[in-house]
Amino acid sequence: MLTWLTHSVNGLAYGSLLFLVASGLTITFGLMRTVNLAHGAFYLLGGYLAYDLTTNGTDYWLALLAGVLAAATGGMVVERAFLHRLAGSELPQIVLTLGVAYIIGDQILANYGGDPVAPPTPPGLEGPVTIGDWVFPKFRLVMIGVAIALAAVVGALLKYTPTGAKVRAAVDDEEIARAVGIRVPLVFLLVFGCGTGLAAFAGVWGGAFTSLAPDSGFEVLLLALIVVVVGGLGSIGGALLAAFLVGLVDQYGKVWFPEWALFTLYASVAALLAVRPRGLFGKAVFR
Amino acid sequence: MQCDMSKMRVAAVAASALLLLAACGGKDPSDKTGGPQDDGKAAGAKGTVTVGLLNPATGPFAALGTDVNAGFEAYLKSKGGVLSGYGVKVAKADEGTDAAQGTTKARQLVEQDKAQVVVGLVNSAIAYAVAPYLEQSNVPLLITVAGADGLTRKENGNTFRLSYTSSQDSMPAGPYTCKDLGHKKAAVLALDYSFGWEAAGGFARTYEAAGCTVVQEIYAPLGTQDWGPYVNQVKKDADVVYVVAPGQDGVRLLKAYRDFGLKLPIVAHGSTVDETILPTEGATAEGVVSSLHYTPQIDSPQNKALLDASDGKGNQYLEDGWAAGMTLEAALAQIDSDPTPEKIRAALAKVKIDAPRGPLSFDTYGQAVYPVYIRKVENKDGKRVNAIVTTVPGVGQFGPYDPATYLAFPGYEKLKGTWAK
Amino acid sequence: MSVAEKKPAGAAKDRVLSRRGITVTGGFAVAAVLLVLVPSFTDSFYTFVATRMLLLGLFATAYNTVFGFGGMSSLGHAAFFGIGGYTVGIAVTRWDWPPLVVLAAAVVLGAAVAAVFGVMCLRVRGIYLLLLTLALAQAIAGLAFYQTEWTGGDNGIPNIPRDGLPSSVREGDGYYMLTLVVVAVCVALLWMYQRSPLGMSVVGVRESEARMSATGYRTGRLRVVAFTVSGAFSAVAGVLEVYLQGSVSTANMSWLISADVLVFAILGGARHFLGPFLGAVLVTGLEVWVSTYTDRWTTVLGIVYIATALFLADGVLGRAGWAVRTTKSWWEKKSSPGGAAPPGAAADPAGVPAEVRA
Repeated sequence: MLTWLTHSVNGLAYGSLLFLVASGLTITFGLMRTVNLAHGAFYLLGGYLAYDLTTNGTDYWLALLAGVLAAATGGMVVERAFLHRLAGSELPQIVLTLGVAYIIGDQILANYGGDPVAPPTPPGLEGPVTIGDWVFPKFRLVMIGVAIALAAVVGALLKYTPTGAKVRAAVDDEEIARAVGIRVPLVFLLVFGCGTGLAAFAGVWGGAFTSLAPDSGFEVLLLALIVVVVGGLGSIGGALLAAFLVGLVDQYGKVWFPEWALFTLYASVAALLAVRPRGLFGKAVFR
Repeated sequence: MQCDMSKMRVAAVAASALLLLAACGGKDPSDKTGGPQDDGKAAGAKGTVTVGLLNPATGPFAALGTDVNAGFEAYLKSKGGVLSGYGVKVAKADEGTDAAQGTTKARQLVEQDKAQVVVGLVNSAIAYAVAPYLEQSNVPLLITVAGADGLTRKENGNTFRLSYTSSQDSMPAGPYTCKDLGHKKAAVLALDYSFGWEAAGGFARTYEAAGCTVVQEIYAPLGTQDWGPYVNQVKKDADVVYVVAPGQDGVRLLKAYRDFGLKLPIVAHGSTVDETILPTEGATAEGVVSSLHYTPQIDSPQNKALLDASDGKGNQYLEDGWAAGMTLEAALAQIDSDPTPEKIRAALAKVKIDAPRGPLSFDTYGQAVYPVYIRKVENKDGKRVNAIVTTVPGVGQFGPYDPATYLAFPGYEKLKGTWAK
Repeated sequence: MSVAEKKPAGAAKDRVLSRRGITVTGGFAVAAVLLVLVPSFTDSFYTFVATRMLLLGLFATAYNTVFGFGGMSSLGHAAFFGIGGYTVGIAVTRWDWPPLVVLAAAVVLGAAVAAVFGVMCLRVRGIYLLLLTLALAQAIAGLAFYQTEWTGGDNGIPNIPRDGLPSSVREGDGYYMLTLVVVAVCVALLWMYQRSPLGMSVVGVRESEARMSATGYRTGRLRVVAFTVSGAFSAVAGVLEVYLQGSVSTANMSWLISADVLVFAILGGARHFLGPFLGAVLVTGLEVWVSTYTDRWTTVLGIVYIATALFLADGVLGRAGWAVRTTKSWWEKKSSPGGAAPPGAAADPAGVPAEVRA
């Protein structure tokens, strides 16, 4: 019985990691409709920077903050310099962000080498918790809470704050939004920065979970894309639910049919998309 | 509007230029070592020989490739660029991540740079594609990492391999775990791809031959992000877990294993805890017993020379590159003049050297025979090291079996899943 | 293949056109001669690279029947390319099939799987189509990875013999010529398909699916047709690649190959029939060239991708056409005293949509 509890909770924990990665993507991709294949690269950027700083003696939380800020800045630079002039044309966005991802990944390889590294587990969260006979890693348990909290905060910000209203207005109808005095380019810039910043946060936390290497950016990207699309573009709650589902499907797929691990996940996603093109909670059709 | 557009263009160009600058500003390993255009130069008394160095500089195996190159170049440098009287010209190329690039670069090395011998290859799929081409072009190949068992199965071919076949280094771990450690029931936890099946199979075969039982086999896909589902399946009645998970997978596996508080002792293929990932694994690797043909802890003048030349850093890939230099030197010593690929091939087959790992020679299939070390991860002055527990001398690719018996066994990919009783 | 074949009536136009026709025909003749001569003025390595350029060019051209002309941005074409490759690997090493049979089998398999992709993608558009094709291709790559009995898993199938091919075209220059012929025939077939009523109606679906549907076209069927044609020829490219390399592995199905071919098409010019071909040649050449000088060639590739997205959204050919038109109108403005550009300076002389011209 305990085994099943462990499997299920662990599936949720892995799903939470996927949600952390996907949360930034739900904003930039789901909401702003900017396809950012460099999302995984910003994940790496945050993780590697935090790793670098902590190994040189910087306080953990300070390193985390530095990683997030650096990736947010980097994201805003990319948005301001390149991406904003490709608004609405997804194909050039793909090519451009793929290029950015190549460059960041290759530069990380050049600077840090290809051996895997891992930012430390957040202080105080190392080791397992034991409840009766049941043993489970503390860090993973906390991760589930963080994912739910993050979803709640981001959802509430978008829904209930004036800033959130501005963002939604800018996304829904850029021209009207401009006409009523919303500084749309600025809004987009900040939103994109938030997205890449969240990617970096996921990199620091996820890196402690799975470790980082210069090419793990793409592995992460594919899973995060799946979560966002299955959840439905723009739906934070949908992404959270999708992340949990993917986490559980992945977990039980590995337990029951390990031989088909790569196939089960992608085939079930493909089947879902073929039947429900907009995912679980998608609303608007993509252009 | 027109003006605005052009201003935007200028901004974009400036930004791209900045990026380019940033890109070029990075620490670029090729700055020092150069591409194929750079000659390793140095004139030798007997002439020159061109060595094609084909290792990955990009992709998941870039770190391994960089280390092999560094080892080879360090040895060359220690000899002033001259091996047995021949000035060595090094042509270096990036093996890349797929066979298309690997073969393209192999051809470039042979057809344009006129390499007389090719050293390198990490990815077995690429090695499988490159080896037939080199066989056909009559250029000998000295493999330094790629492990697929099938690469050295042809007698008197022109493929040689210094590194392990996937099962070679794990075979000595079977009897050691069963008899010396006394663990009678083992669960196998390995990566689900050729290397995993072959390494795990080598262990399972010799472990069962020694009279013990594999009770469970679990295989996880390459690049498994979360090992939680797998480590939690390990049977509680096993005495030991045998693990095959090189690189990042090893880091993740050990972390999950410790996080979930599992207590069974771990015996592993040496690559699961080699020095490239040991610092990242840290305390999670404590106490892991493993078998491999190298550890920086070997106390010999040959190993000391390697460690001195590489700032004290040592790992199996550096040693593979270094040993490749020594092997080539020993081969060239047998050739008086005009080192044609044919002469190099014939000479390689007769090479016997004292490498940092110990005595090394080739069997008739071109596979290296060398000692394998049973090691244990210990904390030495705050740093984790693979301390030597015992040494098994003269291990070949067929382990304790004779070639005919061994070659009659079905392939490990067919035996996977059949070891557990 | 020249535009001159389809002259509309009208003497003045006729003259202009036939002049254009002569230029185009002449251009093709020169290109053909140059292509045939490649092995004689390069060394064996560059002939090998040129062979890869040709087959990747075919792959990109096939891809574009879905992407540029069909308006469906697929990110799953590595599956068809890989299927072609595995067909060679499995059929030759197991059953020793002759090349023509292998080719036919690859075409059928590629077309069949692509048709399934097309059907599954009927309800999706835009970015959803991109991700659905990606998921489908990843699922197939997962099969290739685990069905080791058939595919050899991650090690792939090595040592695929080329004994079935006539000895004169088995390797080197001979294989280049064989590839040239196969690619030329396939590209010509694709050109004919694209200019046929069927191909044109696929372009129609891209432009306005609702209108096509209202005029009685079965748009869903047309989309599946585009996928099928594309998959068949992508598989041919995969076959050529594996006969060239002598091995096939999961790398032939990597999703990065799908991304590469997308970039080929955009960089070369997806609105032009030969644009993707050009893109494949340029990117492949660049990769080989840059990686000779630096290990950091991925960074250079990234910069090229960024530049493509920013400045070459219509591709190299689109840019070239724009440059020609601008120069022409500037020249005519300058030479004609009235100063006005002649009407239609930038418009299309032939009655064919711009993109179905080379």
